[in-house]
Amino acid sequence: MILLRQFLNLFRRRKLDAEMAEEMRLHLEMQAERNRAAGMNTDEARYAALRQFGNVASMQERARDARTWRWLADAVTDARLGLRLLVKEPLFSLLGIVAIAGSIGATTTLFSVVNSIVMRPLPMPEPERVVQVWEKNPGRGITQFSVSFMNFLDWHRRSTSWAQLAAAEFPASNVILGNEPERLRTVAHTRDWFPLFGLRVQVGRAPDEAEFQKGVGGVVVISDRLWRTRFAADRSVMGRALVVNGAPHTIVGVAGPDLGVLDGMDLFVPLRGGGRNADRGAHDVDVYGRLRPDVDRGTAEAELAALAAQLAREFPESNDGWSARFEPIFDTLVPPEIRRGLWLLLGAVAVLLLVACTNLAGLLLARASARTREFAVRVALGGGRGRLVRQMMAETMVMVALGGALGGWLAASSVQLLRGLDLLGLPRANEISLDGRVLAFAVLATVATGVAAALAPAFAAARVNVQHGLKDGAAAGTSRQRGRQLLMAGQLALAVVLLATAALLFRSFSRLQSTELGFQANRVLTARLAPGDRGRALVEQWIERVRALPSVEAVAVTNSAPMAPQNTSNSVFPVGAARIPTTESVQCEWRVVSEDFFHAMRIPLLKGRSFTRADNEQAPRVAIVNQTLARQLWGDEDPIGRQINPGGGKTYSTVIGVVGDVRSRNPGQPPAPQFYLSAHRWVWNTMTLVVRSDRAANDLAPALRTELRALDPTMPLFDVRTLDESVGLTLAPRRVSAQLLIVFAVLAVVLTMTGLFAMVAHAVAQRMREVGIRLALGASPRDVALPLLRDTLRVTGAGVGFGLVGAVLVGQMLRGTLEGVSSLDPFSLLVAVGTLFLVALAAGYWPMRRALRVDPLVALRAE
Amino acid sequence: MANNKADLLQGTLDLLILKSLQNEPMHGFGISLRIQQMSKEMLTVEQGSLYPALYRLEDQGWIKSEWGVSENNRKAKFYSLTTSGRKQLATEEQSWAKLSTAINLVLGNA
Repeated sequence: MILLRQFLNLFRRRKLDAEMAEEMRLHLEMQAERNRAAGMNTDEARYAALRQFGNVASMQERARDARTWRWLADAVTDARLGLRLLVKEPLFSLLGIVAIAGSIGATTTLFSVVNSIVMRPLPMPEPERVVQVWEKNPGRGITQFSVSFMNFLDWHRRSTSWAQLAAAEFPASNVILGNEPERLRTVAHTRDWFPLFGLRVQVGRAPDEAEFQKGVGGVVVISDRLWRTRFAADRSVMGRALVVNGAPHTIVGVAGPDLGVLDGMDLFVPLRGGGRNADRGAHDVDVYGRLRPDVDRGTAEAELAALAAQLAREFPESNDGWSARFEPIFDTLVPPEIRRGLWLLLGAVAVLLLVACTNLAGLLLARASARTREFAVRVALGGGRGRLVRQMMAETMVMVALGGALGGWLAASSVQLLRGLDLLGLPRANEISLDGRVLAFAVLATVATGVAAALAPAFAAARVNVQHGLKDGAAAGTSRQRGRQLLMAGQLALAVVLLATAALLFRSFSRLQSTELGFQANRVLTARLAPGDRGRALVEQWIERVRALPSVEAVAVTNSAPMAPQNTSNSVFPVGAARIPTTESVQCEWRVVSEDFFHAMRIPLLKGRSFTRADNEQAPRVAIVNQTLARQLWGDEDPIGRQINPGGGKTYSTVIGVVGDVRSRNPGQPPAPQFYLSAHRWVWNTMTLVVRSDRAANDLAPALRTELRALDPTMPLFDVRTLDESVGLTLAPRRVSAQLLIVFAVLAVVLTMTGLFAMVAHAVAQRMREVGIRLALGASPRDVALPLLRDTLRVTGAGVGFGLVGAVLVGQMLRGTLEGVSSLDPFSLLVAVGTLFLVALAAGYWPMRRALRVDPLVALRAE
Repeated sequence: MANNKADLLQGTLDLLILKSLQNEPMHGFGISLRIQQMSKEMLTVEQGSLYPALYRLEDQGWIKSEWGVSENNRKAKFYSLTTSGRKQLATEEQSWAKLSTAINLVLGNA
């Protein structure tokens, strides 16, 4: 009750004050009258009354304090004062607000990215219970492999640990909508898929049991996006036919608008039913499951291992040595490297915020020292020091609050922007959004910044020495100088750390970029298509037509180009005498390639020959190995004519050639063992065309499409990009990290430079008088400049020194992610230290020159 | 200013103010006079404490104020007890009785 009234009283202040004054005046009059009645004359009576009453002004103040929230009223006054101060020095205020806004905006944006991708739980029911299941074969060195569909079915039938267990493939789908064939992202899944990921059907229904049994070629559920953009959200779309990969499918439902982690998928079809004559040895599905609530990981793992062992006994040919494991879906969707990278960026931008904060604190400290006289007077008049501190903080908070508000708006816009961009395959990029936590973070960051920036000047105000302050020509106390110098050193240190880290990342990235890949990526265009049953004939015709185009040097097909997301691997057993026994194998990457592949990719053929058209189904099986594989299997002996056994079955292939090593996945890793099979024998579902041109690769793209359309107008061409782009995409996360860090580092250096400049200029201005006297007394300019120089150098040295230590520590932390560059890379450290030294010198030079050129008379009069 | 007269604690001042308003409404000056009278000149209320106490009591809802005319036709702000104020007075009187008994016991047995 009392609190509420006191709060309301704030708004009635003027009325209350008037009443109070009136009341006390009347009290005084009554007292005076009494005194007169007691015998004093008028004047005496009045003075006696006044004396008895006490200090009216202070009493009124105390009375006022008793009835309102004093602190709130004060805060409002301070804020108003702060605003006035801001307006009085527009340039300073603007710089401060912009710096704060930029830093808080950047930090909040990055935090919202980290929050959306790393901190928020995955958008599915009970995400902590959802895992991805892999098959493994420790004997062959395989730790993570796709699952065999037949194995999955048995797990589903026999296991009791799972609430849902679902398998899926992600095939390419050619769909005819309107005139142009299109490629739509598709999930072919089993029945548990929808409940597993919490997907709902908003119109119509999901496929029923029978339809799941029948498998592909029956029904389809389309996405909300497809429904709205292509069918105008028409509810009568149920029952309509959609031609997918040449086969008609009936639309039975529309999936709910929120697809969570499956955002971007357009078609949901049943994965082939159990009656399919499937090869148990074909590992080609992804399996996800949700553990039952009463089952823990250990139990489920044990059960899975036992099941796998069971199956290995029942089907020794295909399952011998195969087991299974699983890991939380969060780890597979958002791998640790990505998490680390994001945290690194957040840390870097937080450092930038700290630099901006320190910068502001230093500038405010300088401004506070100019108001020494004001503070001294106030303290002398009885204003509490606590009150002074609160006022300084309020003034700073006004500026910071404005900066924070602007920064928040910047962050909101940036987040909108980021969602629209296709962020280089960053997982969960579609979920980047602002939420309560981000808002709380923004507010907290603003408050923390304000407090941090205000602390130094506030305490400087509080510790003002009244005697010194009131004297004429009050010079700044040495303690305040020390304070500023400390802040400056801190800023320098932070800037050094940022710059060194940026340089490290940049060096690592350029090392990666210049790594020898084993093939030539320039002027090569890649394009993918899914020819389906018409496969070989169509592709071969198309190759012929493309080869005939002008400016085409070479054309080839493969199942996956290097640096593309599709990966295939297999284990290769040697046949006959080799450096490893025939029961052991080497895990290899492999490709199916056509005759001109090595020529188009400029992969050197070291021994033997490449494939030709003659290496088809009628001819004996042949393979080409890379140098690493040859060396692992046969050392320096000639591999030509020897045989390999991919997969460990009975299909032996004869080695006809050896090619150079290729880095086809991660430029940072050494090349893996690889082998190649002939595309004239094997056809893959989705093929990639590789075309080398004698001019810019992209120019060929339209021609490619035209030629394909001439052969089959229903066949879409997709993922058309140059090999350079593919390589760029692989390196993109590292490049972006390095670029962002460089931006932050440059900003930090700029801030530091302005801060240093301001500090030296201020120090010079304060010592003007002293300088003038010394010059007048005959000191040489050098004598005067030396102490200034010494101070600056001392600050710079300390700051850079600490920064160096910090940079080394950060380098150690990043050791695991830096490829090709040592964490103690001297070049980066040198760049960081050197740049900041130069910056310090440059910033300090100008004001010092001014100091030296000063006319002693002017300096003496300076006040 | 209290010379050899006792100083007053804040809570006690509240009690005295409430007590002095028990019978009839009064203005601030009157309240301080009344307390002086009732204590036979042993207690003098410092004006600096009186008005803040009055305002606090008003904010807490135990007394209410009204502008009126004093005995010598002057304008003055009169304070009077509210219902909850009367209750509060009774409570505080009881507490004070308990407190002084306890203190007396301690002193008596010192």
